[in-house]
Amino acid sequence: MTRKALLLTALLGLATPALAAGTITVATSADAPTLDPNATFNGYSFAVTNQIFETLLRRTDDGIQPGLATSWKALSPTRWRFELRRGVRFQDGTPFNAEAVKYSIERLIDPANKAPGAYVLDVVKDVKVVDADTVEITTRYPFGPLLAHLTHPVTAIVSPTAAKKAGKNFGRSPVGTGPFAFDAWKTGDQVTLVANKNYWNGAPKLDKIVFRTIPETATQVVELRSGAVDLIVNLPPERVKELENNPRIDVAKSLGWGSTYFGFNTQSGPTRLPKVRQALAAAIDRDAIVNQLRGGMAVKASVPVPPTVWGAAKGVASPEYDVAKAKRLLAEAGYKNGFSIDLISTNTGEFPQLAQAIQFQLGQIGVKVNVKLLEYSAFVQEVVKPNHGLYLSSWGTVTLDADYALYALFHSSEIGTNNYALYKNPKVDKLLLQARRSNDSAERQKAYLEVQKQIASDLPLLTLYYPYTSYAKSSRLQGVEVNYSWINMNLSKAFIK
Amino acid sequence: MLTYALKRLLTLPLVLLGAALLVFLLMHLAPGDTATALLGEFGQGASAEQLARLREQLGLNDPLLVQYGRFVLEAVQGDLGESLRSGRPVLEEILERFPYTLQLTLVALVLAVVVAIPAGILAARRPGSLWDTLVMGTALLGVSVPSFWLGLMLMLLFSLQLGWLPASGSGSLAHLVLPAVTIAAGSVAFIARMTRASLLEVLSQDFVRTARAKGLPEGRVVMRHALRAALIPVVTSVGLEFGGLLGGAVLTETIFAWPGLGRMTVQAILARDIYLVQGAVLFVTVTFTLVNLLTDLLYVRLNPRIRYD
Repeated sequence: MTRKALLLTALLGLATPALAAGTITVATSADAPTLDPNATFNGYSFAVTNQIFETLLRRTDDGIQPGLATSWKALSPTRWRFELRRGVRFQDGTPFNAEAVKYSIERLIDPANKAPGAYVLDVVKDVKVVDADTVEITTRYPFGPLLAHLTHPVTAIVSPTAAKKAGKNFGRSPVGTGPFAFDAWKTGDQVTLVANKNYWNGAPKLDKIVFRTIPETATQVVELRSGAVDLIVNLPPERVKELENNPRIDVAKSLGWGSTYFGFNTQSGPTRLPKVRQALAAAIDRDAIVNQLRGGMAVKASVPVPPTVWGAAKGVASPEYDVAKAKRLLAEAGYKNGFSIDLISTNTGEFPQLAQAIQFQLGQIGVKVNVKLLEYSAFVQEVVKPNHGLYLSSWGTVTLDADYALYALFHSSEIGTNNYALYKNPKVDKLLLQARRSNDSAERQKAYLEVQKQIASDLPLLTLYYPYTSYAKSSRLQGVEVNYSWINMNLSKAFIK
Repeated sequence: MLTYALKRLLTLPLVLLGAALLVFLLMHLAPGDTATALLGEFGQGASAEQLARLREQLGLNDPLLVQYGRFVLEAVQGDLGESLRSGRPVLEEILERFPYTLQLTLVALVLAVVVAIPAGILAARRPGSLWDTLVMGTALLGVSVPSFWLGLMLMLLFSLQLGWLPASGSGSLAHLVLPAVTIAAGSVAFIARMTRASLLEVLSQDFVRTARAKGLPEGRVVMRHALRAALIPVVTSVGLEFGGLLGGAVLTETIFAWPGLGRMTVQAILARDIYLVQGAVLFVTVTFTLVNLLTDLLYVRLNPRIRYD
């Protein structure tokens, strides 16, 4: 620095950003509305609450793993017993036990609390304390994905002492069992967490994590390059190349829980005909979309859920790009000269560009696409209507269990909500319900395979790709784990080199 | 004057009622649903029945008139409700963000006025001179450059290349510099042009000629006689600018991650956090109206010929 710069720095009292003393700064794109994991469904909240809180179970590539519960078994199709981890304490010193589990789950599903995430566990009928370290959960009907749902961040176990004391303010003074404890919150600016020295799985190596809200990606990148930020999550693909070439920055990508779809209205308009859907699918060059539009930051899809999800089928064929075949199918369906149709999507992320690409590719077989880009909640309102045409959307199978995506997207009872394709097939309905109501993994897996084969043949939607989830960090920061989504950062083993 | 101020203050409730109705209707007429927005991209998976239950719990199923009545009744008692996303009182959320907006606005406007008025005066003193062209040219540039681009350029230069200033965030004087300069750039241009035009007009008037004829030095003529009259429209525009900026300079706050009111409001709109949006709009309406009133009162100080009562 020049003398002038030094002087200026001194004058303005500028704090030099540094990884000093084990503090790291993580940039997120929006404020966490609250840090009460039971009371929100916001990704920016979960990114922070996942450091403070833990769930009964965890999901890794090896399947469902112990979290705050060490073992579990089904006593009957609707009754599950969980043995809890012993000797664990919340950050406020309250012992973690069966009472805390009962309290947290009931807190989530109690209608009086108006929790948006209550739906994740609304199948729960009763939580019973057997003894201090044992808890039994009874469901209203047999529910195969229960264990997967208990890995969801909304089911985090909170300190009953702290939650009762804070009341509505718990979201500003959260207390859990996780590796980091809440320290301070400057609204709209930053949340600070400090290491939980008594963490049951070993005290974290970092002393402090500062989550800073930086809405603009360009600013996040400047901050990372200048060293004021150490970790950027949810990195858009177009930023990857630029940062990959920086020797002081590491970029990592992994397959997450997401899928991106091009969907059809299966009940009205030209796409009610299977041949038209096949034609449109054959006209889409997914390799080009993955390689050019996504810059290689995605994997071409085959089935509706990515291979990270339990129950994802392997070896199910999906439509190949073949313009000649597309034209032939269209002619056979009676649309030799094509047709005109609306395509709706959201106005954020990759969707505007993706919509243009689809518009162009379908134009090559004579289908004129009118693109309508809407803000997210307006899009949802449009796409659940029975008369829409085509749509682009994405899905996060956040429980990493096939039920979470397949049931919502393809069961006929979900028409009007998540089943945007208005897809109705009694065989699929039966299989999905059967799999949901079973605790037998093998049986469930078999049903999901059947469902995915049927979907590939009926083609209510074309799964375009599974986007990579990516992050960029200072190369001095090591041991960062990001599991399936940026909201699942594990920083408990992270350290500064 | 006091009567005038009181009269103006008495119309405030009417203005607020109108603003409340407008924002209430806009939030409910805009496409999109609060429950879906609340669940967001990670909340896909809720069934129709589960969504309906959430809507019922949030009171979103009541008739619009009932919802509006409830809102007005509570607002009158000083209760703006709770944010749907954070569960915190709306007023608390707003009051936490407002000081940042106020701080940024004040610094930016002081900066703008300090630069713009002398620049405008200098330009008006010698219209057509090199100095005039330079000031007006720069002003044109200042008006035309998008704050988004200017903000990023300033950040790249002063934060990344030179390392003098933090690129974003808040907490120290240094954090204020770049966002304040970005906002000021637009205002400087506007105020300088206004000052120049107004002063030029005044300088051609009879009382200025009289002052000159009396043999007063030119500096005194301009500073003591002409400027006072010329500043009246400038004060109005600064007042309006100030009032407008108090709602939050959304783009600048976004680029520099400044925790102001504008960014909060936009996020609340996108998330369909209706009570927070309503509260924020009402709050901004009150501040805007009050600033306008103050500006009007300031006129009287500047020009004794204006009488309000």
